[in-house]
Amino acid sequence: MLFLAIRHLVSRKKQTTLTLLGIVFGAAAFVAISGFMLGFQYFLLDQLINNDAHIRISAREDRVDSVVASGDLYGKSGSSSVVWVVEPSGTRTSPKIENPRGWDEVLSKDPRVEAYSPQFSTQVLFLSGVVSATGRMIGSEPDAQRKVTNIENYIKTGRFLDLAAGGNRIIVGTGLLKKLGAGDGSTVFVSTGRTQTPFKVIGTFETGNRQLDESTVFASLSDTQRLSGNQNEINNIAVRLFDFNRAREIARDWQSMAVDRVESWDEINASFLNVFQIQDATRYLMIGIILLVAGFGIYNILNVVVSQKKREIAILRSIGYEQGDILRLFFFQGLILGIVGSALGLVMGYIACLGLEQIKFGGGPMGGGAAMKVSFDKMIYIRAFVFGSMSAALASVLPARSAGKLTPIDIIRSGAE
Amino acid sequence: MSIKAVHLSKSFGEPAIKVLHDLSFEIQAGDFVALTGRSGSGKSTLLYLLGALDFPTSGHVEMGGHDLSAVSERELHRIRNQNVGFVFQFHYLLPELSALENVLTPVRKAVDFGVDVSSFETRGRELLVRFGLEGKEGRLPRHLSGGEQQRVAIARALVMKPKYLFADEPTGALDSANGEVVIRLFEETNSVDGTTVIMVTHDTGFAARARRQIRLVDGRIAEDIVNSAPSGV
Repeated sequence: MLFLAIRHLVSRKKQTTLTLLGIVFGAAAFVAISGFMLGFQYFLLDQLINNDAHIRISAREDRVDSVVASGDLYGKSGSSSVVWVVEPSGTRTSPKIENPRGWDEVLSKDPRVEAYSPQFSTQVLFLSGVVSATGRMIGSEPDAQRKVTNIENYIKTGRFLDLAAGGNRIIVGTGLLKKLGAGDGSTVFVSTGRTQTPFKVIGTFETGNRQLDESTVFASLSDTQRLSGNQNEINNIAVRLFDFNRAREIARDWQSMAVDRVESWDEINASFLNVFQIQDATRYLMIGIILLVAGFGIYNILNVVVSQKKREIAILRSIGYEQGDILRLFFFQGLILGIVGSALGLVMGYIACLGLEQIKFGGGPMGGGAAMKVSFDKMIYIRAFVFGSMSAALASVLPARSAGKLTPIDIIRSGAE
Repeated sequence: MSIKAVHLSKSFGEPAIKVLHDLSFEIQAGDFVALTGRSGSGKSTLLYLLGALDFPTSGHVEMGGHDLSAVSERELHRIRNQNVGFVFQFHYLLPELSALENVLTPVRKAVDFGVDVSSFETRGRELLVRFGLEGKEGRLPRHLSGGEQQRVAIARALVMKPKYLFADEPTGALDSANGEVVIRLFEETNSVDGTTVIMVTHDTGFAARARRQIRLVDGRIAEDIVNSAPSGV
């Protein structure tokens, strides 16, 4: 019946072309929209996964209330007789990781851990002349830090490893340096509130994330600890895993045996990932509607064709063609339209993606002048092909079934023309 | 390989209107029978029952000794494909296919029934040549005249070398010259190939050329006569 199905389609050139276009545009839209949306998602995911720790271990935040405060101040026995005029409330941030040596032992022996970097990060005020800006100073051991994140990829000037020597040297985000009106090699004062300490700018970095570039500096761990008066203390450990997909499971493992807070990259960025899910839902909805419309086109056209072809169906049935043959005759037409339309749609979608990739845009979290990120993941193309073909095939099932049910004598008796 | 109608009745609709009333007769293999009668007499209905296209309300048809109401659906399709050829008033050719491709449509299906079809394309071509359509094998039906289209339809009905050829007013849509050609082809098929021909016709002249005439009146056999000297046979 394939032969006859092809002949049917070829003989109705205009109808076939119009129907085909519906599927082509549906599949192309799937590829282009998915390529664009997933490209953006993959880019952001890459940023989230590779520019920061897969698991972050940080000092725990405890809630403080009247019970906790009474116990801390008056002991267990005395706390029951305390009456508060103003009830205490809020959170108490433990300034340090409770057992850094214990973590060192765990992380160094865990085969799932690729690298880890103990850090001390603190909020500071940067001063350069009369200009000031708030920001965050991240103190780390540079050799460990570069193994955990991609920071070295974003160094514009200087060498990240030069921080290892200490001596109050910093590598500053280009945005922050610009804000401060300072330059490479100049001295910037850093204050934690009590004193001001001079730091020399020995390099700059630019991640493309404006928020990060305008507020962050990197320094050696010892310089940062000294600045904040917390010698030998750390408040963060950034961990890189061999398999980032296992981050959540491993974080739960560690959390169960530690008082510190252990969070995986996907927990830290849950809001981002939620947005991705909403994007995915929107994408599937849009594409579903497009393919539904294309499917209805096929359904309508095949219905008309079935009623136009009743005489031919009658003659085929009278020469021995079975119900299944007639069903296949029309089902194949839908399937062929789906397969050919989807294949052409993939090509059109691919070309559209190549075009999208050339579009430059400014601003935003990726910085200015970046090219549009488009995904060419083969799963997009496979899904577009399967969805396009299936929607066309499904749309042809009902007309094909109704054609299959026609008996020769009913058609002849009804005098179908 | 006779065809036997045994107490054949057929009703349509609700409440039932009886179109054929308890018909019993036998058509011998190789016979040429004309079914005649006025419009509404039930002759086409009888033709479709005999030709395995329709089923009786009661009674049954035996084709070559097999009760058609007792055979499986698959077997029924095989019978339609290989034992029976049908020609209608309108040619019912598939407009997308050439004349030869139309002729070979039953052959394509015969493959499913395990028939060796290697020689059938040659037979299809030979039939077209025999029917005066040489050189027109590749033409689409719309590029053929009405008479030529009907001859292609007859070739299609005969390509599988059926034992029975059923024709429902095959000349009804043709002018007299083309009608004559069609009847001659039937006569030739009947006499040369031994195919049993059963033809519904209004045309008394063509009916007289059959070996036997069965005339129906209101679903009953009013006359069943053997033409003593059929003009064409």
